[in-house]
Amino acid sequence: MLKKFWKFFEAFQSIFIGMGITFKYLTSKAVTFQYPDQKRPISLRWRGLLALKGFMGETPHQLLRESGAEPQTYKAYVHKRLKEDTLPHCTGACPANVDVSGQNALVAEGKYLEAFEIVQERNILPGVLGRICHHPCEGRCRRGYYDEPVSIKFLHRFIAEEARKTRRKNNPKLKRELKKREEKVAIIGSGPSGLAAAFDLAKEGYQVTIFEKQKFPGGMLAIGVPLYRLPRDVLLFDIERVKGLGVEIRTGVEVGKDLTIKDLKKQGFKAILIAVGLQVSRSLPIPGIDLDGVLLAVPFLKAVNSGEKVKIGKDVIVIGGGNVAVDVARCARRVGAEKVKMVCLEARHEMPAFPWEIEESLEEGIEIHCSWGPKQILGKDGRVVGLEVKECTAVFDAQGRFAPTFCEEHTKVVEGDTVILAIGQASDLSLVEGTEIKLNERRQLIFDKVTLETTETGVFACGEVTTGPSTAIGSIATGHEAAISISRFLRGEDLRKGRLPAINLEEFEEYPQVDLEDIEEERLRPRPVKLSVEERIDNFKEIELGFKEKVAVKEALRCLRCYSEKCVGCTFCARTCPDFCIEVERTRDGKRVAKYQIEMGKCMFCGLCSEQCPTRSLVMTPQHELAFYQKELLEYDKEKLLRSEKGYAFKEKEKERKYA
Amino acid sequence: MKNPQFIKEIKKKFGKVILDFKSYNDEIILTIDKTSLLPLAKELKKIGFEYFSFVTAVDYQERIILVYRLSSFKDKVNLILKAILPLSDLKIDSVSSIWGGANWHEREVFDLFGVVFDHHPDLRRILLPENWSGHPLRKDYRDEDVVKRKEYF
Amino acid sequence: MIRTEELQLNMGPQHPSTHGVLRIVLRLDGEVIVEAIPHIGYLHRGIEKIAENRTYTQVIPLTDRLDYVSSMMNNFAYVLAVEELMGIEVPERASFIRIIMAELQRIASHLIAFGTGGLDAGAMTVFLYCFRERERILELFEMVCGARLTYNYFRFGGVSQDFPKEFAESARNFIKYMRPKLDEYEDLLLNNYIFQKRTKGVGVLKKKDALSYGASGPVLRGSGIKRDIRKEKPYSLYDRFDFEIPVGKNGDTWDRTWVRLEEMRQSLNIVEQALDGLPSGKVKAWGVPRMIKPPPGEVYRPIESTRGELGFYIVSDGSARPYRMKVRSPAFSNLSLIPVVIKGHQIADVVVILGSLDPVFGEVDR
Repeated sequence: MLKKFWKFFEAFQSIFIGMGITFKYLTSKAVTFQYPDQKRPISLRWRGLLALKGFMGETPHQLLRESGAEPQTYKAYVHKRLKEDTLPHCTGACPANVDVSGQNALVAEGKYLEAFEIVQERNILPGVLGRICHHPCEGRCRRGYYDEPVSIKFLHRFIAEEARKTRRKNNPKLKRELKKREEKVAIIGSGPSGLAAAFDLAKEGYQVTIFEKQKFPGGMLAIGVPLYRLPRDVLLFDIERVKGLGVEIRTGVEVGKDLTIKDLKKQGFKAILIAVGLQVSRSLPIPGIDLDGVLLAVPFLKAVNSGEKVKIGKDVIVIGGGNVAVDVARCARRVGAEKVKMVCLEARHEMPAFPWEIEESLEEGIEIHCSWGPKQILGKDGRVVGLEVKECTAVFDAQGRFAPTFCEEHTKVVEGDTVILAIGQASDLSLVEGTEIKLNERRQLIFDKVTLETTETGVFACGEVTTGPSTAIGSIATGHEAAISISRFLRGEDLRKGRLPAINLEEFEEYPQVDLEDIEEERLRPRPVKLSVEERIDNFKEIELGFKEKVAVKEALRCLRCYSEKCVGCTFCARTCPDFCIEVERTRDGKRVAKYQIEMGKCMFCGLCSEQCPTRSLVMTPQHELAFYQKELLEYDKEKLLRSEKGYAFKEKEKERKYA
Repeated sequence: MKNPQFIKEIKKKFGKVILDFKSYNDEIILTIDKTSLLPLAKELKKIGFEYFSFVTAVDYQERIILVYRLSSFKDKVNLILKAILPLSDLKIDSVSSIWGGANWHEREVFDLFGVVFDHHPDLRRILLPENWSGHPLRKDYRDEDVVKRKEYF
Repeated sequence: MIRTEELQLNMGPQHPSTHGVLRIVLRLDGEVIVEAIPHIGYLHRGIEKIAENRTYTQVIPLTDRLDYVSSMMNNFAYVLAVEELMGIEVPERASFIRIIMAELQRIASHLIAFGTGGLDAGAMTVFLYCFRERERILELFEMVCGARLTYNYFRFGGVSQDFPKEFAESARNFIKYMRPKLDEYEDLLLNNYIFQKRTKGVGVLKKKDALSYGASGPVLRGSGIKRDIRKEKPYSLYDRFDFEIPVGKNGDTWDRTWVRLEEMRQSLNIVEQALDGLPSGKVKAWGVPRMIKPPPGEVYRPIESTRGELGFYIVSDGSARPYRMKVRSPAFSNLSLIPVVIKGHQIADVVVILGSLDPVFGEVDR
């Protein structure tokens, strides 16, 4: 039986084996050749297909909104972006880190009031700064690399004018959300830094009172800045808004004379902020300084600006080369002097005054005698008849410190009947007497560089008292810092924890001037309308006029929205492409990208376009390679991109691209 | 200049035909009259300029300037020799009998600029097809197939 | 007597051993070559003419396409010439990066010449090995600039981007890996009896011919002339590096191949020195405008590329586009030696000699 079965098996052995193999393969999947799931690792810098991360859409890129709009978180956010190298240079270069690209995007959308809110969050006086700011942002504007920077200053001014037109004092939402807090804070001085600190503190609900020595608020902005640069109603409107948050401004009260810091403490002020600025003009120890006809800059400017009659001669000499000296000279020209001469130690290129100010004063016929130092004021019968000057050979020593050297033999006489000294200012810190606040041997305040706290607990300082001669926007930046310190102090938190230093301006280098030849006119910035010399020379009318709405929107659309990762249709990629394979067009109003076409057949993947893309929206992706293996990784769909109005979200698969 | 001796020598011998002479560091730029190219080239090779780098041309619209580059390894001096050809008379002696390398380079200049080299052993087009018309690197060369594009800046 | 007749043989333009699109018309007497007439121009794209219609920056990717197996060198030569015209100073770190890249490129390019040189003589293995090693260099390049062949990495005043963090370590690993490999190849190919028989005394290039035909690079040095622009007239920061110039004795095919191998060793030394002394700082000079407009003038700045003296003769008229750009390509001059060197050899030697001249037709035809 067994033998019989064996014989049967032997006869059909090959068939059974064959059936066995068949069954084995029937149960398993039919596989001929399997491609590996993952092939070569692709480098992060792979230059493959070009892809756009998105188009500019309704939701503009805003640093402020992304950070949570708190002063403390904002600064941390700005630093984080700086570390990632995605901070727009304009914001980084601004001492107060104003969110410029957010402002420009909103202006371009026509949302002027929203733009105003964004700006005033960091720059409490947009209208004022839109006129007098020295705009370090514009020198570092990325657009300046391609043609000309965006007129950020004039856009500030434009949105402030728009807000003034609507008479809107503050965001109603902001006022509704105010939490009331009991603690009272006193701020001494109503200059830009004091106002900035008051605004921040009032927003948090503290009861803020500002004490102002003068009869009007505004500090140096009201005293020192001439009317032709800043009409006073603009300043008052900006201050009104601070008042609108419940800040009380008590003018005509001089702390130190009418009140002392001790009195303030007794009155229940938990924290005191010294923001008095530099309000005393320095004098010179030279012969003839007591002669009749020698004036100081600050009293002179104050008198001119408040409309008082000033007694000056026809032939005025201004000593100094800073911005105040230029202001004094130009004011003197307006109040009746026929000849104005400036005498300064520095050579023309070293002058601390801003170049555009010097330019304008030269237009107005002001003579500038550079590299001359005052020796003595010549007098006759107690009146000034001239100034004897000696040649200044070097202003700064080898370390770059101020140490002028003179050539005593080489002198000349500048004739004139009035001499105005504008050689710098000092702070009057007599108010600290009788307190624990200490001054150093040069009668400057001793304070903590990070927290801005003075030697007495609960007393802080900000503004030019801490920074020395500075700018309005620089003072505002310290005001914000001081507000953070005060609110932490009042809540009993650690003042130092997580505090970040201000961003160094040197992080961002200024772009050199571009050769504007061959550049189309519509790409250039609009020139502001200026009064001619004849129109402005004998009055205090504002010299520069602002932008009209159309111009402003067009100018805002020139902003490249750096690092927003949304294409703005600037066409610079098309201009860079060596193969002319990119076509970009904006819609007629310029607010959307109408067409973005890359001819992949022509593209040679050189990467020049994505390298110079200011928004970083045009990227080289490894997707073309990945698509061979995994279809779902191919996310770039041109049609989809073009159809979507808001731009198409691009997901980056970082992990897959990691270099092994 | 490391070797002022031989500059003097050249100047003495060819002072009349040298139109312009510049030298800085170890580079000399000589501009000469085109008729005297061959004797000068022979002399240059004798004094050590054995290395022939290239010859090319630049079209300045009313004239074409030929640029020869020679090097002397012995003296470590490089020389740029320029010969001016008016557009009406684009003929010059070939130096391929002196430096063999000039053969192909002169053919290239003939091909792309239309400069005729006299006594060249084999003056044919080198890069372009034989039946090509025109000399593309000339500024007045026009090709109907070329698409004009908008000039961006 | 048997009556013999000369035979005309057409080699190329599509031929596996011509390393590109080269056509040589050979007149043969039996197996011996009586005359060789090369025909070039099959890859002529008119890059010099295109460059006249591109801005200076847009020309950089075009130069990649000249000598496509050593693109970095072309970038280097072009960028140096324009920088000299503009008077741009390059940050030290950028110069170091450029030198590292150029020397790695030299190794990668010589590996091809070495490997295919072996292949021409019938040695298959060394060809495969060389391409394997070259792949590692290409990975380094890809890591740095994202491309594997046409790098477009150099910019006026520096390079497009800094090294990634991992680069230094990877490069060091590569050097450690590469050194023993080179010894291996020397044994495998240069000391091989068959290869020596095929190459020694074959294709001898006399000093006199090498000079008057403007040969350069390993071809010139193989003939016993010690000339290297890196030493003779140091550009970039080459004067800070310590390396030697290998020189051949007989000027034959074997010497040229040996010079290439030796140069790879020297390049490894340079890369190592550069990695050790790599300073920190910027990789791109600040203030280089987007639209380059050099002052009117002309410049010729040769560099020692893989194949020899590569230089860009640029004439500027002050506008944003070069008025004239001439590429002095070493391969063009080297290739023009073919009729001289080949004459009298047998037809099987044509392939070996051509391989040792190492022409790249992107550069020959431009």
